[in-house]
Amino acid sequence: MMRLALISVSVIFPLLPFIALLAQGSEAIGLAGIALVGLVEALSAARRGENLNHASWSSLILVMLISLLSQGYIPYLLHVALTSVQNIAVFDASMLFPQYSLVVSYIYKSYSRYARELSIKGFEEGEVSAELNSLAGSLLIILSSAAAASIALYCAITSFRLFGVDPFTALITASAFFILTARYIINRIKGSHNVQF
Amino acid sequence: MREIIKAMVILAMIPAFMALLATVTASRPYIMPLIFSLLVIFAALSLSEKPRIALSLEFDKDIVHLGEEVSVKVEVSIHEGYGLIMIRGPPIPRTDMAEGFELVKGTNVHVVFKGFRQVHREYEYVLRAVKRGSYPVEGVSFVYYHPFGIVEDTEGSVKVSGVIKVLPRVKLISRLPARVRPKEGVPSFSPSRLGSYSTEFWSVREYVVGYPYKFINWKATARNAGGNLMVNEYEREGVRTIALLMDGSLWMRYGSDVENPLEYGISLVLSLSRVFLRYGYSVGLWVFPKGAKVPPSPDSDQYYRLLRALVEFRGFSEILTLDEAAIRRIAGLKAIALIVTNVTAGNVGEISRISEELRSRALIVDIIPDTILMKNIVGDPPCGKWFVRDRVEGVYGRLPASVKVITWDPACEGVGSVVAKIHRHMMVWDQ
Repeated sequence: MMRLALISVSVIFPLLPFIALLAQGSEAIGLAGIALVGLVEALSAARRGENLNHASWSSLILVMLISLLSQGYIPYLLHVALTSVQNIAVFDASMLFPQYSLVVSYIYKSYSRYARELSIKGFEEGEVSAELNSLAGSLLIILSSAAAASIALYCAITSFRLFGVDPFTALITASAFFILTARYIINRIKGSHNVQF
Repeated sequence: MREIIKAMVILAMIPAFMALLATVTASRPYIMPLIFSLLVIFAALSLSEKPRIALSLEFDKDIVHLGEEVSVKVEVSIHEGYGLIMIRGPPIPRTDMAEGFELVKGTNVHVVFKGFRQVHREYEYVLRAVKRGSYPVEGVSFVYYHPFGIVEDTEGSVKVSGVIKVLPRVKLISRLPARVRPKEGVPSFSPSRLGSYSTEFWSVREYVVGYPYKFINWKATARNAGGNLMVNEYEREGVRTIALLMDGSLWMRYGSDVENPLEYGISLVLSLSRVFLRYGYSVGLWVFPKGAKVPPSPDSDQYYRLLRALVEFRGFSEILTLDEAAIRRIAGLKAIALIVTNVTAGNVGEISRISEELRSRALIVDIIPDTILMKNIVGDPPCGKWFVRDRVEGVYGRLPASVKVITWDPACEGVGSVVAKIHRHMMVWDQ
């Protein structure tokens, strides 16, 4: 059941930004996006579905490109936009879905690998499924809570307008903060060994 | 957890691009994926406590016979931490115990997910003893994986002291047919060289170190031309001595780890010694080339001494040889020698030498491994006389005339039948 949920999220969520585009009148780009991501999904399904993260990656990169070429400084300088989206905020916010599905697809990949390896090593199949389901369920709860909280926080920030910061200051502050966070996380992860059971 | 760790690294890297994108596109909704990454990282960091794992292990018995089952219970309690814990109870691969036991019910490997709540699990599985031996109980080992890779993978184990002994199969022969029972009283052949001295005079001989001074025959010493100290020799209490010579060399290990002449030989030696001791014989054991030695004794604990010596015996990689000191010692006992071996063209010369130097009647139990090997391949063993005839024509002719050979094919004939044959031959010698 949990496996099915992970696959569903990994397959459906990368398509959502393009469905949002379709709904807002950008049929050509929306359909092209759906076709491209669908093709990647089909290819990964042919390889036992363990590379569903490629679909999320392709969706994320496509959404970033479309967004970059449809709004902001680049269309302003080039005097041409890739597409005109009615509610660009909804499209930009929909980037949360491929990001979410990217993590879920890695969880699914890990789930499949563990289920396969542990059954070879003599673990009871039922027990392995139950424990991996619990792990995946627990991670989904964390991810969903983080997604819900990020939406709530975004709404709060935009509603109350606490800070009036110009884009470049925001960029520098956010970059510095995340570089430090990323360095800390990567150092912590590097410190963990790869112990084989 | 490699994949989830990779996802964490990606989540840590993405915000930098998101911030750049938000600036270039001047779009505020990009804050959402940025916050999302931040919150997931925050959640991963807040779950970075190491787990406290308490494990206990329990066996329902510590002495089993070959083929018997042992129930194992493992209890696991995990406090704190977050992640997958893989647990392995005994037998741990590549240890002695893994060779001696097989899983018959359940499994000794388990996986536990420790989420936000405390976990307590109990596992039970059943092992069957498949190889004789004494096995130190290994503890329970575990490996802990943190799904986000924030906490390093941890390996650990809980050691449990103790030993499980797997005793060989012993045929319990409650009584022998009357015609093969030994005669009562002091036998005419091969009197016992052990036990306390009786008042029955045996002979006068030269003094040797260790002999009691009270038996010095001063008159015979005075008359002795060489001036040597002479002593009276008296018969000892008890019946005859049987020297069991167990071959532990490479020839005895034809076949699998659990079915080979050595394993069958040990089973035969123990079954025989049980019967001999029951009828008052003094039984001793020599495992050669250089194994355990159990001095002959007729007492009731002797069986357990023999059992202890044989349970832990592993066999040698050398070929058969028995040192001169051991041969002299056995010859000095005037015992009936019973050699349990697998006679081949390669060792028949050495067996002949031992038999001759023992200077007493010897009985060889020749354990044929061929049918055991065939049984593992074809299932239904061909219990003909092929292999016996092959040996009679080939190697038995090279043995001394004083030696009697009893051929035993364990795949076709039970221990009880061989024990009866051995007794029958001994009674013939006794008359």
